[in-house]
Amino acid sequence: MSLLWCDKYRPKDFSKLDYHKDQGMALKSLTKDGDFPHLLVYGPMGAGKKTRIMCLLRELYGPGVERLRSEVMNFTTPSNKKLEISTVSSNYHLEVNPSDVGIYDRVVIMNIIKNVAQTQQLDVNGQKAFKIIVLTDVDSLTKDAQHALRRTMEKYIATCRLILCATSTSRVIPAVRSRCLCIRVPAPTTEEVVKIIVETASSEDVDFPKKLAERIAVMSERNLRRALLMSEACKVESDGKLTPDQNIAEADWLVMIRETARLILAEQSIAQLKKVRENLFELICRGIPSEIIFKYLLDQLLEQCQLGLAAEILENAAIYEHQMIRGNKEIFHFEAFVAKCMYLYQNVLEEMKCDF
Amino acid sequence: MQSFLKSGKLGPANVDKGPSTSKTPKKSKIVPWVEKYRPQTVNDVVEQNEVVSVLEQCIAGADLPNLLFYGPPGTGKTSTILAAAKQLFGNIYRERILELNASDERGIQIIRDKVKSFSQLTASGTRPDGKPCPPFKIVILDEADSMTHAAQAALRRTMEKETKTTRFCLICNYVSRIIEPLTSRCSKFRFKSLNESMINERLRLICKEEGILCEEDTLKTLVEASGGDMRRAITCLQSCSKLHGTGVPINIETVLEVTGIVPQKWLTDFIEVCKKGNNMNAVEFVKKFGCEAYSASQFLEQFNDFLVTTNTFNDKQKAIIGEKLGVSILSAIISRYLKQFFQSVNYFVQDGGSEYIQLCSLAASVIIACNS
Amino acid sequence: MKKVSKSWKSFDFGPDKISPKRTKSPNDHMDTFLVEQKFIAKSHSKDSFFDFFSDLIPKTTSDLAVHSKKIEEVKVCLERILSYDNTSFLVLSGPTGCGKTATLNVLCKEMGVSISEWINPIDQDFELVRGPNQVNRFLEFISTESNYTSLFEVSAVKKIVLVEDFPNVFVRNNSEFADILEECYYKSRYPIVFICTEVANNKNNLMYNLFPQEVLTKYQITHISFNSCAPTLLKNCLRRAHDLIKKNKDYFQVPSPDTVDAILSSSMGDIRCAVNQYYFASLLGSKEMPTEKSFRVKPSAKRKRNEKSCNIKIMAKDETLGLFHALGRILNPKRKEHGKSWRLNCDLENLITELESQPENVISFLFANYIKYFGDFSELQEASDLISLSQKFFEKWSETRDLHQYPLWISVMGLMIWNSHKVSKWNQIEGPKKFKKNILRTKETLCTLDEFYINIIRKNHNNS
Repeated sequence: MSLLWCDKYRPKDFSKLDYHKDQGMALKSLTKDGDFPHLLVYGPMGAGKKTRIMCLLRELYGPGVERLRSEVMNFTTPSNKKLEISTVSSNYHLEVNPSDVGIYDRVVIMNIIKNVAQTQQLDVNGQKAFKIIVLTDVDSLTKDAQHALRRTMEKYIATCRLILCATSTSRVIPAVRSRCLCIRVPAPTTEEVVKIIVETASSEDVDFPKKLAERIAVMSERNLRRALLMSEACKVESDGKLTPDQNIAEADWLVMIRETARLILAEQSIAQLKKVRENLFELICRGIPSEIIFKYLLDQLLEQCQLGLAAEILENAAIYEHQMIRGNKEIFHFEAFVAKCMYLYQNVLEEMKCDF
Repeated sequence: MQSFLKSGKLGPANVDKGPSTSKTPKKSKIVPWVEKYRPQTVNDVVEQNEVVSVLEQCIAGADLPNLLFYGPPGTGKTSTILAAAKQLFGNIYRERILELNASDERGIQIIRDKVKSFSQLTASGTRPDGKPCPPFKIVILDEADSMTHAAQAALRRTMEKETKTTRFCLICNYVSRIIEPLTSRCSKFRFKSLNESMINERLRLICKEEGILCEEDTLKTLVEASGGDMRRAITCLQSCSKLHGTGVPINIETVLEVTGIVPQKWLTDFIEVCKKGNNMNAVEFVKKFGCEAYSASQFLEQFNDFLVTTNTFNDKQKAIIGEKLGVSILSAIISRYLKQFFQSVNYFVQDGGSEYIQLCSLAASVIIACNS
Repeated sequence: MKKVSKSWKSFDFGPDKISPKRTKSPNDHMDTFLVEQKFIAKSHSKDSFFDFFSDLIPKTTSDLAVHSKKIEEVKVCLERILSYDNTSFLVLSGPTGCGKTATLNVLCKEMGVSISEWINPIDQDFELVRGPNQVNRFLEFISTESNYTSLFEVSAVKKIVLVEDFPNVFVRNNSEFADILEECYYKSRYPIVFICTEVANNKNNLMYNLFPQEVLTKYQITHISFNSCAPTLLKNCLRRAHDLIKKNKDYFQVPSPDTVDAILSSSMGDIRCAVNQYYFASLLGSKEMPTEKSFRVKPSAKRKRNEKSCNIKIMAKDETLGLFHALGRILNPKRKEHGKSWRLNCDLENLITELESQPENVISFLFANYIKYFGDFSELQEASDLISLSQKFFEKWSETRDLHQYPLWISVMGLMIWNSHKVSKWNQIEGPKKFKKNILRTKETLCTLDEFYINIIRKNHNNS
């Protein structure tokens, strides 16, 4: 199976990074004396957090970290529920996304760290005295798990280090934040994305029009990973002939959200609300994170709604979005938000009718 | 008691916070600075004069009441009690204290078993080397406000029963979360937030000791960023120096990077965009901001400060330039309106709301305020 | 009215010398009760020469208080599975006392099929070796019993194996049961009939736990579900009892028609319960049953449903206002003019207490259905706002359940108060949608959002 571009051309060394070079060097110097604190790497999706983490691991342990194997670990919660979680690991590190198991993330974190910390390195002479655990999606961990993390971080510090990976620090509790060296990874600028697309394409012997690359960069919202996937998809679909104004496929879920927004504004009725609900159900079932749905739905609504309702929609979005994060059934809050928007829109329409 | 030592829950080396704890002492011999520069005696504790004077008297009398320290983080609560213990017990102080500091390790069961069994051990009135020392032990319950009420109630009885051999020291941020029967059993001390100049002084001392080159301006930014939290300031300093390697002066950019402070430019831009009054532009701006990965809660905090200061700025100018009058009234409205709004947005963000949406809604209301 | 004359030979003479004592799984309380009753009846009426209960047992299909179509269905199915060469399973399910076992017994008798039934053993060492032993025995029973006919039977006789008394292990651990089924499927020669009593909550519902859809399809299990007895059928049954009592006037008194009516309505379709009550009412010396007449006379429309069913104080079945009743009331709020304003015509306190045990579930149900009952959009919008607000309190990760009645109040009141233009046509209540997020996380698809592009690329790679 051939590798995707974004995996094939992933920089493997700090010196090969395309952007944030200074930061790369700083990270490199961090590993110099063979020891480093816990890290919290944060930045938007597709900004290169993972790439930097892998570079760091390589810097520490050498190419051995690239021999990855994935396994499924089993845990039992105190309430005797069996959990399964898939992990990716090498001899030196272990990568896991504890938020996969929902509210049981605390158990998983405690167990994994304990396991790793208690197994000593077999290869005593050459390597470091500690292993590294990479936890992804730290910001979607429960507060409970984060508190547990705080303690475990201190307790097993001698044998393992944590690298936490998050999209934003707002949701990481200060106690965890203050125990880590925070590394901010901003998204690459549009120019950088364009440059990387063109360069990557040329090493694949593809002549990539700059205009197209620019359009992709904007469309991907500076998400480098998505940009590269988009470019590759473009290349594959065009049979090798890329034109500057060719069609860039839009992700199906995005199309669906757009359609949902259109439905909301097209008609304000109870039947319509039902249709919207179906659509939203479908999106959630596909595994699109509800925050993403909310974000794009809001964007689309703002874009399509021309009646100067932006402020009110935004205000309501803020309220319902918060309720959504607090509660556990997203669809309830989506529906309330949609109903509210429909209601507001309907009111404005009626007022306009009266004015005529 | 030995088992406590082994389990790694006892002794300051493990209980301290900060990224610097990660340095394994046995390997690289780098002691976290927070630890290294912890006050050695009660007298060294900065700023907290009342507490210090009371404690000094206690130490002179070789006795302690049950204590309850409360106040914002990084004001020296833990340092004070550790220093007091050191002064009381000398080099055997590690054996005489039991420190429990994690929120999850203090169910009612732990209070019952651990604290009880520890407090029931008798302590002799002399040190191994023959010097006299007070015949009691200290149980330090750090972050006591996160203990469950049941556990606190369990503590109540233990506390009274073991007065002969054990003193308790509860440390917490919010005294209101401690149940009344416990607070009444302790002498309460409030720790004030630290003065910036005090932190500055301390940092300079550390810089000198560690041979770090650091500009006065940089130091100032660092102190400001710490918000009166000594620990945060020191750990930041250490992170900066670590990131830079030795011998290179620390610059402001690194400080900003490590502390995660949002550059002022973004704030002014934000206001500018809002003043223009177009919602879509504001949304675009927030999107851009999101790509830079700055923390939204940090942004909001700074935005709040920023609002207050711009307000005063305009007040001063009010008398000089008549035209600015309107502007100042405008910003007065903004700040009044936003004060409430800001609270809710900040709360939402801390509570896990999406940064993007919350910031957009902030922008929308700033725009409304601008137009009114 | 209940099982008799079953071949218990394997227990009496089996190699294990299993004690033939009958034990009952917990959800079969009424049955045990019945047995005791029988015992009392016998001792009491030593000289009465008749046994009320054994006489009342249905002998023919016409005696059964089950709908004739249902009987036919079971019969056809039994014939079919008996004609098969290899093993087949049949599952009968339904609420307690709707005549599942009786139907099977009667039909088997008519068709000349013998039944051997598994009954949980009680041993001295039962406590010590509970788990696996019971399972092993069960397996042994199934495989021996269903493969060899016993000495006492003519080998040509057709036979089915009946499992009504599921070993407790399976109740707790249903994966094990699946294994056993697998084994039976290959080993056993006779059809096996399972009888599951349906219980309201899913946790104890054997049908739900042991025979999920995939198991049913895998082994091509026929599943026949019984409804609780219709009142008319119940009445027929009581009439038979009535005739019996009449014949023995010396020992019994004939209950008044009022009492019979009360029994009918309070037993809620549980025939076992009805017969027991009838027997109790007809015992000599017992006074007229204390029916709650005062309630019945009161012409309040409000509590009609309740009042009907609480007229026998003792021995009545635990009456619960079902979830669906409550939902119906919430979704179809009735109003009462009250001067200039109005009040909700409903006992809210009662309603909430009924629902309190499962607030989250209730709100899900309400959410799934409320749209259909609203006639006005702005009202709907307010209601959805309140549902969302109440849902917020079921915090994602918190385990504190003490405060959950408040969100329930919010959503219930919200829905009832806002719905003034209700749609009052009949709507079927839908269950909350169950959906599972299918998150695929492979090494390359870090998030589901990018999957679309990866699929495009992969597809084209495969094509070329």
